Amino acid sequence: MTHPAANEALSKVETWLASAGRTAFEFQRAAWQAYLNHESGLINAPTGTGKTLAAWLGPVLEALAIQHPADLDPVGADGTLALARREAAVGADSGPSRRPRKGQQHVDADGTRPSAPRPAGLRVLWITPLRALANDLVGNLREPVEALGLPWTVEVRTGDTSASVRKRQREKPPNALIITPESASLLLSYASSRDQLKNLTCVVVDEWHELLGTKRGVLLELTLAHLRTLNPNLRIWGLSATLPNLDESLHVLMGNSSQGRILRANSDKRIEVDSIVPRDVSRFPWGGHMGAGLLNEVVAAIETAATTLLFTNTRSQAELWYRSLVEKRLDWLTTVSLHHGSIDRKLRARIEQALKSGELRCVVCTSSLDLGVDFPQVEQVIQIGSPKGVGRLIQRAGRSGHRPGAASRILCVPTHAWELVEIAAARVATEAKRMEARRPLKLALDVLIQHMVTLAAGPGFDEKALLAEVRSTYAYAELNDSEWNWALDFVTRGGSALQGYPQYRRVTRAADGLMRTADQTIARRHRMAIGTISSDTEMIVKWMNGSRLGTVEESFIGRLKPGDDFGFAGRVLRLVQVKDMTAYVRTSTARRTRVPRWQGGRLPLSVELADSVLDMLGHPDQWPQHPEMQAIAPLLEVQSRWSALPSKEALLVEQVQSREGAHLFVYPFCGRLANEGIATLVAARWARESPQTFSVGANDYGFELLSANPIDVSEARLQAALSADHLAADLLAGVNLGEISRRQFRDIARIAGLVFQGFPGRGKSTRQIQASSSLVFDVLNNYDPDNLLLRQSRLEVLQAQLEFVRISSALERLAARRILITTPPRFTPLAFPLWASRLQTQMVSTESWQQRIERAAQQLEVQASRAA
Amino acid sequence: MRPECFDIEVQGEQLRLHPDRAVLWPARSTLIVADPHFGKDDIFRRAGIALPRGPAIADLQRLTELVTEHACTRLVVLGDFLHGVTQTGDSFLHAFRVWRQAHGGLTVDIVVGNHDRRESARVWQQLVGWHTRPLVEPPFVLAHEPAAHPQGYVLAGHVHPVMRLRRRSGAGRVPVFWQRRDYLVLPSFGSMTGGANVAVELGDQLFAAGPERVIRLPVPVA
Repeated sequence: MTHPAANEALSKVETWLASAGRTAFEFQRAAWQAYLNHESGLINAPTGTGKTLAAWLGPVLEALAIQHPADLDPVGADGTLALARREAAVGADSGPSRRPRKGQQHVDADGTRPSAPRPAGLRVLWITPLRALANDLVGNLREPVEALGLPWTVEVRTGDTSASVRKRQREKPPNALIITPESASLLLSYASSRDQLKNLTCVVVDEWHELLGTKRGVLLELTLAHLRTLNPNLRIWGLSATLPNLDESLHVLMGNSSQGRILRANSDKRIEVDSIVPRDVSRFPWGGHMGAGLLNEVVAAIETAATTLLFTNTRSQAELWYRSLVEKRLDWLTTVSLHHGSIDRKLRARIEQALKSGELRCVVCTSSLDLGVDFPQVEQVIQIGSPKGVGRLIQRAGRSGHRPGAASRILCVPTHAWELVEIAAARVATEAKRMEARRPLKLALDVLIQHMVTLAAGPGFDEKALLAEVRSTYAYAELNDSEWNWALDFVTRGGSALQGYPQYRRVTRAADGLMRTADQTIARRHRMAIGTISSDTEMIVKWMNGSRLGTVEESFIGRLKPGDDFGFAGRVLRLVQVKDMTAYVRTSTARRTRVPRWQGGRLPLSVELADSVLDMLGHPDQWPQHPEMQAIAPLLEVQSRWSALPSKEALLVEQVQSREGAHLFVYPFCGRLANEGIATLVAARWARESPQTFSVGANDYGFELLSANPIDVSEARLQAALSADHLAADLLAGVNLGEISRRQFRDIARIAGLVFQGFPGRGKSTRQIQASSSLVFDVLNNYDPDNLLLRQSRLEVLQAQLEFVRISSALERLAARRILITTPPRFTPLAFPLWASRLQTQMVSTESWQQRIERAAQQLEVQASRAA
Repeated sequence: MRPECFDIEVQGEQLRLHPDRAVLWPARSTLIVADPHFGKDDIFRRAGIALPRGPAIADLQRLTELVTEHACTRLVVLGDFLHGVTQTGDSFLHAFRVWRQAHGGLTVDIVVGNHDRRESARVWQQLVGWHTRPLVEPPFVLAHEPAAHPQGYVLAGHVHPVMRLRRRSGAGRVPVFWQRRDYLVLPSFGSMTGGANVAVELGDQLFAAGPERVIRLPVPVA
């Protein structure tokens, strides 16, 4: 569309930007033009570079142009007015989900000329992965709309939105709706959605890189496919940080239905990776991951900046660092805050608000603040421990340095000696922009099943049409007929036709020939369950008076008794009682407590960063450029004197004898999960050759095998054990697949609707149909072993838990390397952390239930006699 | 392998704890189980949750084997015989009618538990003894909920006791018989039931019910 009206609208935008002292970037203009040309695409730009406007003004411009083009005000004249309105709008936003109408009407009255008719219907769906982002976005999207005099309404709809607002939004939708992927899917579950969604002209997917590679992303692919069916002219725009596989990520977003283009913001923001180097590395620990040893230096660094974000890798690490900081500096008690994913949303929102207004000196946080709106006040970013990945480091560094031209700087704090190497390696990888790819998921049957029931609860579906629609997505392009038929059987009959699922009812064929949910109760319950893809079995933590503190994994609370103390949200709490998925607590005066360990906290070292570490260790000529490498030189000297330094040319293997037995340390540098997988593989293959029992431990660099008997190690024998032949079968034989896939099945069961969790507060009404996923897993294994969801859990274990792809490519690369076997006199600096943290130890064991329980009983006996 | 029971003496009576999560009272040729939660899969399927038929049939089969092997003349269920209100056409209703006909000589007494309460008594009274109050059979009181009773030592269910053993050992949660001063709590008989960790106190006894054997556990209290 290049007609005069569009040009006129474009110039309005330029004038408006100029009045606020801004100019449009080239990629923004390109994005607007592409949108007006009815194109779809992906905008690649870091946060804080104007990607929101790039995507948003396309539809806004079009609406301006289509509306009476001659009737627009010259906006430049009242630029100040536009700014004043923006203030008002931001003020009104503080509680948009609670009372949106008030601010809304005010804005409408203010920004709409009496003659302009309000456009009907939903035009833009803005999808964001984080609920917390939604409320900030409203202000950002409303600002230009109001300034340009477009009578559009912008609202939010997430899991937090009240039922009455959601109902009103269904009856009279806003023109633009900011929504999470789950809530977007939920829209499809209402029969009335069809009429609303077919007016849609544009879907924007914000932070698409965060959704790629997750089941939430797959759910979104299905939702987009359905929206494209409703409106073949729908334009889809993704916003993404830089990924090496941008083309693939675009393809996933678009499905097979249309072409899109990639627009890049030309940003060459410099990123400086600095570190706090311990003065005396010989007294610095070789292992561990809490690393409070540099507390004084960190306190000093926090003092130098007005506002600091202190990132940790796990929630428990965040809790510990928060407590150390306020214990060290009691005067900071009110200006240091703690922010992580388990802390209640309202509390987090308050902290974010305080961060924005510059009231806080420091926020200790986890990946919970990786994403989101910018905090211009943040002057400094500190990273505790290795960032584990290059992309993550860049993202975190980008939270500082918002002034134009300023570099983003991140200060890394090693928690043990080897992390010094990781920091130096991360610096090199960052400069070379060697970021990690995110691989999209494929053929997740649980998500497909959820989507089928969603549509059945809403407009109903025709099998043939839906199959074509589903196959138009990237995730299900290769879905074969038997998998599709199984999924269809699952929702209509409960399982494959041969199995016994009498009286099963969920989706049935209605009189009009479409597939629909059997009754309203089933539809209602399904809607309640839709939001559960991302959530784990979590318990709410509440004060006795009922106000919320946040959530903790059920398994953690399960290990506590009433009266026990634990650290949470920076406080010490005492568990009073557990009732209806809620843990009631009061404050405790205890000093030493347990800190919850949330699952999934510890990411393995990424392939890219692990490679850079090996590179760094293999190139001493580069060391002088990095203060970290100079600091760690004495340790590296010990390592090479006792054994050797690992490198890309040779696989380092160390053999050590101790009182415990024969230790074998191997360093493939594949990240913890893949190393553990390789360790299990080697142990299983050797144990098969001759009966032997191994204890297995792994970290990001390598693994340890411990045996009571001598281990026969030769290059040939190792090569055979590391062969990629029969990899999957041997790997699966080695791990306790039953137990791991039982855990993996939890999410699958929830998504596919095999377990229904119920909700805090309404638990009772559904209690009768609650069963643990573990029980369902057993029942299916015994009575319907061909159930494809069981197969899916095994596949997911291979891919996600064991990083099968990474293992197999690592083994291929190892095959080309020499094997260097050394026999150091004692545990080397590389071996020590493996030996010391044998927490993850698993036994490759063949004991029966009887033996295990008798041993457990003996252990109890010992405990009991100690206690007596 | 023949399952190994564990005999205990309570109030001068011998009780035999069976690894299949049942108690035998040899003096009365009686088999006692608690909380089978029959028909659970029917309720799930009706609600649109795809659980296959099978566990309930297997549980009935286990009852048959126990009754036959130990030549019992009477079966007592200590409540929560059903998971919820049954409906015509439920696969369990049919299966149980067939089972009852096959075991016509067996006396079946069901003490009503909280899950059975809304079920129509009239339907069941034709098939079994359906008791809304605990049965007093000295020296025991056969009840659903474990609580001291003035008329005797209580045998009960309701809480589905399990014990969490140390994870290192790989044993995980095991169902237990939980013997206390005033009552003995049976593990739940149904294979589709969860469990609650027992809060053990000094003087309690725990017996783990394994697939093959009942093992007495030391009681870990300070």
